[in-house]
Amino acid sequence: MSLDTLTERAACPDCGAGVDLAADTGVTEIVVCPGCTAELEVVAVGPLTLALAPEIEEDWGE
Amino acid sequence: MSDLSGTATGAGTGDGRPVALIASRMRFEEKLLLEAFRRRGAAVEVIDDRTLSYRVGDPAPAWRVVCNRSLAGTRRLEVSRMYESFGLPVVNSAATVAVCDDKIHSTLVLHAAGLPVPATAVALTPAAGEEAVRRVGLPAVVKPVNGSWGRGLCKVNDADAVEGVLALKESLPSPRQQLVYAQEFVRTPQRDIRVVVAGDRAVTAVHRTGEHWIGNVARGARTSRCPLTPELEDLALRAARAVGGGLLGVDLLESEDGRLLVNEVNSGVEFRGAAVGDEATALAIADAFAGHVLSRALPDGTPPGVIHGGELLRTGVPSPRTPPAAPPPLATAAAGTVPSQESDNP
Repeated sequence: MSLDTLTERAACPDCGAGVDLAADTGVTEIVVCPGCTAELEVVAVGPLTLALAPEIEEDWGE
Repeated sequence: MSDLSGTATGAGTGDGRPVALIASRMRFEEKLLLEAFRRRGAAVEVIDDRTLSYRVGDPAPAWRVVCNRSLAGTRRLEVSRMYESFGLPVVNSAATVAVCDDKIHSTLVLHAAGLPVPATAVALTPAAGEEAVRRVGLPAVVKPVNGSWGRGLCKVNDADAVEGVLALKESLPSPRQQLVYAQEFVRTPQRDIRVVVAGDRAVTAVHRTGEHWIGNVARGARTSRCPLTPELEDLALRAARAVGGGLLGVDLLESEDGRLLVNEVNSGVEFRGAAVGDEATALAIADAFAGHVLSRALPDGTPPGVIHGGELLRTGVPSPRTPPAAPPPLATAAAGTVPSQESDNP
């Protein structure tokens, strides 16, 4: 795992708006697109890749 | 920025084997946990539970302990089963997860332990559901057996509503969804209490207050500090022990008629709400969690062992990664205990 700080900006896969991420954002984190408010999952870093976050499933939770 | 599937090293402790932090998401809680492990000098390997598969008989990964933070109940149970089968300690144990993630099972276990629970009735089919609701009285709450975040809870105030809910359950595809779990509707001061437990310690307590009768943070309830009285602490720890112990969120109800009831115990406890916006509290909870997980870790130099009911019974079980020619001492294994590292909890 690389914990190096990256400063990449990624494009929202839904609306194309630029999404800036905090330095400590990691894979599987959920971010919200500032353009269309879609929930996005960080699926890879190097290069930074975003995908639409999966819907909450029936068995998710505490 | 971090790649979830990799190893974050701290200063290193013990024999260098990492803690496995298995998660579906790096949420607030997982990020703080990762930091808490690192502050304690433990190396951590973070694994996305969606990537996991195994072949029965596979050698155990070279981990000290597994911290299971899977977000999905189904995967949460399988993660604990999988790594306990490899002889690794897992927090929470499969036994704890199995009890907590099934409302029928948990209520039976809590009641058997002598803990006060809301009046509860179960029917095995929707056709028998009306009788179950009648046994607890109206208004009642009909809950999914394995729901969370307040999903699928139905408050039924009259016979028409009961008929509607049971008809809906009849149409659901899964036999488990058709089980009817009905509880009395407990009238409260529009709030409940969440006690966060780490092992034998109640770490903090909060009130969860909302406009809706479902007092769940995921449903918008607000949290505020709740004094952790000896009564709350005792009840929460007894409930935690009853379900097998671990990192737990114990939900209590104060009824308007003066009862303090154990509503449920959560095995995938979130604690952002319990921190009430206070960073120091959040860090303290994460550190208590990390401390408990490390207290369950395999002793230095010992290979995976035999896990039963979440307890490490003995170590030294030969595996492809533990050559039988050089087994570790079994002296500590006979006692079935792991050295505690909880004394330095905050």
